[in-house]
Amino acid sequence: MTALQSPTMQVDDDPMAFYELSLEQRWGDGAPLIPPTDERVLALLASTPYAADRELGLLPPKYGTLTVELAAVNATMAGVEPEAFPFVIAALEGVLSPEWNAYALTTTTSSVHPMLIVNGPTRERFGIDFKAGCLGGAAGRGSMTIGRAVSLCLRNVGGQRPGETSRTVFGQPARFGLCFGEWEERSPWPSLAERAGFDRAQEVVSVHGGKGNFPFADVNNDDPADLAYMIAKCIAFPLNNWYLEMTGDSGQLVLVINPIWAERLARTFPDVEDLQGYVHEHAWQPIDLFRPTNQQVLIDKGRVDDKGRVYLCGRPDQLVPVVCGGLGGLHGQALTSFVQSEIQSVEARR
Amino acid sequence: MNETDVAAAVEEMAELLRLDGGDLHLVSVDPATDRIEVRLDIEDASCVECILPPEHLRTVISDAVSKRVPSEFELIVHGPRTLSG
Repeated sequence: MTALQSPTMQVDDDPMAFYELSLEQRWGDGAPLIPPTDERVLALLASTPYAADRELGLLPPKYGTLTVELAAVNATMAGVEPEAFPFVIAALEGVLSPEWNAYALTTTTSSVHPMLIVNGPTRERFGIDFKAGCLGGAAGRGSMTIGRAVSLCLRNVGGQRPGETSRTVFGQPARFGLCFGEWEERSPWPSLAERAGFDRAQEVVSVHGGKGNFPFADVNNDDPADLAYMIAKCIAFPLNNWYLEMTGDSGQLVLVINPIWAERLARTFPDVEDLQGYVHEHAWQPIDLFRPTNQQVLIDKGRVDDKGRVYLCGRPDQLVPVVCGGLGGLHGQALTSFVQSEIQSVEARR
Repeated sequence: MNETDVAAAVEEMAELLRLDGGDLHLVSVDPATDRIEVRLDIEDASCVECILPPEHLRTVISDAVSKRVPSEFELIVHGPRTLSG
């Protein structure tokens, strides 16, 4: 049996005692935690091929050394099912990828946080919600614990604390942890993981640096192209982070599309690239929309084209459709971009 | 989604339709997509006007299935006029 290296402490065998200790010592997230006994931590470690002492990397903002064991301790506290632990490791590997830009994302004034999107055959098995209420409320164990485990690692290993190491102004609800799946079986397009080069049999976590979830709704546009047009105008809101940047060439925005809309949109856009291209083509605002000082800033940055349009972002592939949600239709969401971060897709290894 | 429960609900509705010479058949249940397809048969109906209008019929079938299937589903009714929702 693997000998754990983490320091131990004695706590009364009472759930409230451990919860109150976590509040007192500030290694919780304010919600009750599961005590990480040796037995529980070892159960998680048994589900990953990685050694407990393997160093996954230095986790910002304070660059704490993240070992697999420390990830397992925090995942245990979050309530992660042992067999779901590889998703936590994969998500943390994504967070630690240089392209994800973890230092900036964990220290910024923005509300940005890892948003985890899961593909693969075990979504249902692990309670990773992808149907009604998948962004909150569906209450699957995987959705409620895997993202939380990543957040606890950022807090306890990386040292991320609002108002101290993190300058986030508001934070966001997803900072407790956000993890949801794609309803691949209802998607008319290749899944997010397939578009990243994986196949359907692989369990994959994609980590998006999302600023928040921006909802929109429609009952007035019967033509799928009209719906796509309005989505484009909606996501190109004038104070989007992309309009603050020198260019629109980095980052992604996740378009959360319900299965009914996906089916409708696919009649006009059978290839996902067609949809991305159309939405990108219309995701702009006229320069006249902006106030004069703001106009000059955008002109100076070279963001205005010869038709007076300010495009939201540089390329169609930066707009990333993901199909999930309930069958009520009518609603979509944008998981908006921090811009200086690229989505990372990582296989959960067993 | 349990196929047996769906079949029982569809049969319940079919029994009512048979009173007027119509019928309802379960075409498919797909748990991966939560999609249920049924086919309405009114060719032999003695009183076609007695069969509920398609939109109402879909609602009635949907309600019957909902009593046995607690989760959300999409119902597609094939027949003289295909309906989904």
